[in-house]
Amino acid sequence: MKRTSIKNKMILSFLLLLLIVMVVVGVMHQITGEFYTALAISAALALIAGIFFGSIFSRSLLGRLNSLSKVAQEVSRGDLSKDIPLLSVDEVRDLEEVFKTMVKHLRGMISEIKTVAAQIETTNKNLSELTGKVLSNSQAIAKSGNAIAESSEKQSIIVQETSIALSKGLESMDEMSERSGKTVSAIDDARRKAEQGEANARDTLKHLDNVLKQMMEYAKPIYRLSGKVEKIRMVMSVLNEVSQKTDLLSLNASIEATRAGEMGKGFALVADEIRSMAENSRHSSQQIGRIVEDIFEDNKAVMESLKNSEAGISRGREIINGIVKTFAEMLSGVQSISAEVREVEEVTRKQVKEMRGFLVRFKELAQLSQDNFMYTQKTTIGTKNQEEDIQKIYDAMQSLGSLSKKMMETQQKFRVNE
Amino acid sequence: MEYFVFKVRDRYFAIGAHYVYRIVDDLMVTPVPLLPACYEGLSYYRGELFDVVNADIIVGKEKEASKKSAYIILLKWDQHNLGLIPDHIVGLKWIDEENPQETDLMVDGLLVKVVTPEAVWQSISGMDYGPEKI
Repeated sequence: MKRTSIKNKMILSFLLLLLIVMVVVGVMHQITGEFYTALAISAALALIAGIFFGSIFSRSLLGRLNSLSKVAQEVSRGDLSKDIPLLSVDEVRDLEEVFKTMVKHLRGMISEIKTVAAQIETTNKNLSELTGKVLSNSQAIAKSGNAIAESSEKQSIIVQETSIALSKGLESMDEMSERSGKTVSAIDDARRKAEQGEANARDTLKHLDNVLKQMMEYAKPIYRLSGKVEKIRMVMSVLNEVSQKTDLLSLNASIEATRAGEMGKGFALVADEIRSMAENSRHSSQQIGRIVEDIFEDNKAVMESLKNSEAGISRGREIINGIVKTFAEMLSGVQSISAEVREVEEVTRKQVKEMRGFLVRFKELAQLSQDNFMYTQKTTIGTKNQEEDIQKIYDAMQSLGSLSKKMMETQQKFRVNE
Repeated sequence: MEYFVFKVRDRYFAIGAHYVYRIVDDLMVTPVPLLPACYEGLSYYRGELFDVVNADIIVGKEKEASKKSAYIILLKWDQHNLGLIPDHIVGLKWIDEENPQETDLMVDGLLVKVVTPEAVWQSISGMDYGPEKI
């Protein structure tokens, strides 16, 4: 359809109206022959036609404007689904086209907004999930940090205690090494004394041997004496027998004398004398026998005691031999002990050295655990701050989510044909 | 008169010195069976046989093992030969009594009973035979 402007339409209608009037006037004039009546009738006719045309015209214009305004109202309510009908071919059509373009643009914008809002929502969702995870992670980190802090605190306490114990141990080990040094000197002393003791015991043994030899020398005459005493006893027994026999003989002699009567009196006296002599000699021999017996007993006792002392001396020898042996054993024992104690001393010294190293290391370790504790504290604080920040982020995201929701809601208000 | 004094079981006895033939020691005694316990046996001394009796058993009348004395008193009277074994011999003593057999006498502070060899012999003859029966 060809486009026509309203101005042209108006002009055309006016001209058509004028033509109609002129035609009517001419007709009337012919019919009536009166001009004025014809003019009045044509004017009336022209007025009627004008009203009729004007009303038709205005009606068509108004109708289009009305439909446009209806659409505009729909748009204002958010309904962008309706299309604008392009009915006219005049200036209103421009308006309609502009309106249509606007609606089209609006539609595109809203759909873009919709997609953006959806994207924002999904992103927000993802973000909030992520944030939640980060939050939980950071909480876990905080927990672990706390645990690490506690452990490192405990560790540092343990390390400190250990280092105290270690230093105490070091002290006692120092003391021990000092003591073992003293022990070594005491053992040396003991060794010297044992050596001296052994030498002394050997000397004693020698002296004892000498004494034994001398005693044997002295004992020899005593042994000989016992033999002699035995001989004396034999002689004594012979003497005894002789005296007994003499006694008996004198007794028999006196009996014989008695039987001889008066003649035997003198003989009897002699026999008596002999008898008393025999008695005396018997007494004497008994006394000698007693004395000899005493001597024998004494000798026996002396011999016994000699034997005893000999046995005692040999026992003493044995004992001293044992002592010498013991001293030798003691000496070797003391030597081995001394070597062992020396070794122990050396080992203890080494140990002390190593333990000192340990102590230094432990101090470092204590420092490290202290540092650890501090760092973990800092980490905890950082994770707390992070948590707070994340909370803030979360809050912001919540608000963003609500914003996007609002946006979606707002966007929902628009109806767009997809 | 002289008497020979000897001791048996804490009692002192005296026997006439003229009865005593000899005091001997170490005389071998040969035992004889079927005779009283106090009968020690027979001894041979210088060509004569002597009956040897243990005075200890006669006095105590006990068949106990006698304390063997070293001495034997050899007595001789009226063809009799008797050997008497005392516990201990004292020696010859002088006793004044005329008839001393009846009582105990005090001689040098010892209470002495005077016996005769005949009485000793008599006391043996009344005894039982010894325990050893053949």
